[in-house]
Amino acid sequence: MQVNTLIIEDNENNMYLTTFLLENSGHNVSQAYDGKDGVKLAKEIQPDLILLDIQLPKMNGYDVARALREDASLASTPIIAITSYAMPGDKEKALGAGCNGYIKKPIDPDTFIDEIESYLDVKKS
Amino acid sequence: MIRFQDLSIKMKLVSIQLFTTVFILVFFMGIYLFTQYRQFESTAYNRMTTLANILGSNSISALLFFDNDAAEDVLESLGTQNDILNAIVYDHDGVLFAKYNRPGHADFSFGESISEGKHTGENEFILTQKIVFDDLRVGWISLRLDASNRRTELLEAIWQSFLLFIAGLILAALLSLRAQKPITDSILNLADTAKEVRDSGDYSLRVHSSSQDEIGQLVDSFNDMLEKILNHEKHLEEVVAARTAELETAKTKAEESDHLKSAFLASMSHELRTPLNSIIGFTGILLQGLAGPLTDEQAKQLGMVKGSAAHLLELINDVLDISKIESGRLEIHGEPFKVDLLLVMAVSSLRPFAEKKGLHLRHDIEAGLPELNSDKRRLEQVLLNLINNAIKFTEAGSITVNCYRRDDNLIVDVIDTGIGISSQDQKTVFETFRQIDAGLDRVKEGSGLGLAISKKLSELLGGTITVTSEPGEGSTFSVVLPINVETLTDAG
Repeated sequence: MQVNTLIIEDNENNMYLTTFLLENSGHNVSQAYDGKDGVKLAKEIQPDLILLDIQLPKMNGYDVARALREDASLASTPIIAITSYAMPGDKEKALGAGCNGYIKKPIDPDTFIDEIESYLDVKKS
Repeated sequence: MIRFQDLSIKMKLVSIQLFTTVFILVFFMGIYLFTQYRQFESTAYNRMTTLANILGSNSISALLFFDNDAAEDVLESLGTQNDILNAIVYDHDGVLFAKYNRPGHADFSFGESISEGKHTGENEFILTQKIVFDDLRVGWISLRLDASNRRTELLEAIWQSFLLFIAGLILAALLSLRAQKPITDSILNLADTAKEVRDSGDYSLRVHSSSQDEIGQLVDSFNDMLEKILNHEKHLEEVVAARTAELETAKTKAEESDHLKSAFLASMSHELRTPLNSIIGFTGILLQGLAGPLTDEQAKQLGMVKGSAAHLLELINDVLDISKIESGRLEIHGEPFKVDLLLVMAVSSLRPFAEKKGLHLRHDIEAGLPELNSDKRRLEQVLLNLINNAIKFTEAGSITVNCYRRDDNLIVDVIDTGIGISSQDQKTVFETFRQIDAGLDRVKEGSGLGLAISKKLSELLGGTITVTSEPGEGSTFSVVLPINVETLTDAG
């Protein structure tokens, strides 16, 4: 089964990188370049998995996560924060806002897919 | 034996006065008694001379008319003189003419040859003088006086003197006790205040000065001294307060700049991660061949990019770690874990790097180590750092990791046979950016923060980290961590 993944990320290079890795693993990727667009798109397409940057224009990642969790149809969709924030408490803040996982940038392309897909497994089981 | 120097001033003054008084009293009593003694004698002889004169002139007619009875009558008049024992009138040839013996007293012989004069015996005074009529000696008269009560009178005089002496002494003692009061009081007052100043440290106290004598001057000097100390102390307090304020300002500034530095480092590390994400990510993709096949040369060069990017990330992480630690934002999460397992894994993960340099990396872990209640991830970071360093600075030989328990502490020694550290550098080796400052061989890649981070992490875990080394002989880094005994029993 093809996984529908939404990437919310403002940096073009990083968007390209993540998209490339996911598509290469057979994901069907949708892209949003700011927080507001991300929330709108998520409600529209109902993805299986959301990869969320925290530092975003218009609406930051924490607010995006909270907004998504308020929508009943997205309440159990895995959201994984992918961020270069690495100060203590950042992870807790992301999890508190409703994210299921937290991956620090830079990502490791060798393990990235396995890591994010483990959240899908959790959802399935 | 109490020495005079050890007596209180009061007692000194009193005793000086008493000794003086005793001396004077004894001196004058002695003179008095001596005079008394002498006076007794002269009074007796005066009286005897008077009696002899009277009796002598009364006996003249009797002598001239050879009337013994008349002369004896004259002598009988001595009956009123209790102490005259014997009296004899001799004619001009010295032949006994008339005599008188006090009732109850025997005859007394005044000797063969009669001569004018006094004879003072133990218990008697004897006086012999001429009886003269018209410038002619008509006879002699001798009187003997009982002087036995002279001793009694002397004893009486001594006794009286003694009573007077005691009375004088008591009077002198009372007087001197009162007289020394003004002197001792001012000295005691001074001493009390000095003691109070010493005990309380209150230099605002003053001694009340009531006299203009030497003690008064001493009190004035003492008060002046207190004034000077007080002023000096105030001055010192002002200086200290000013310095403290300066230090406070400096400290606040330092803290502010420290905070800014940490914030800057955190922000930098964040900003650096974003481009690094692309570098590492795309390099990885290319190396995986996901974007198409690579030639061997391309793969080799991309591998170098990957290695450099990984190193750059390591540096960024070190900078971030140190800024977190220095800004106090690093949190420690304690949990019980098996330290031997952690150590084996750390050693295993680094063994390939050691073997690549031909180094033998081994570990020796004491059996039966308790579980450690600590932050597993941070301890692992410290151990990896130390072992990594050991590999980095050792060109030949081995690296040994020992782990054992000493009392309530767990100790991990990382021993290498590397270049070693001079005793000078050992002092600064744990300081931030020290490797760069010390200008060590920059071939050894690293941020220079590894040991600083390790030290701070060890301290955050409640432990310490130390180094012993001889240049050329290798180094031993020791981490000492406390074992939480409660957790040990829970886990056991």
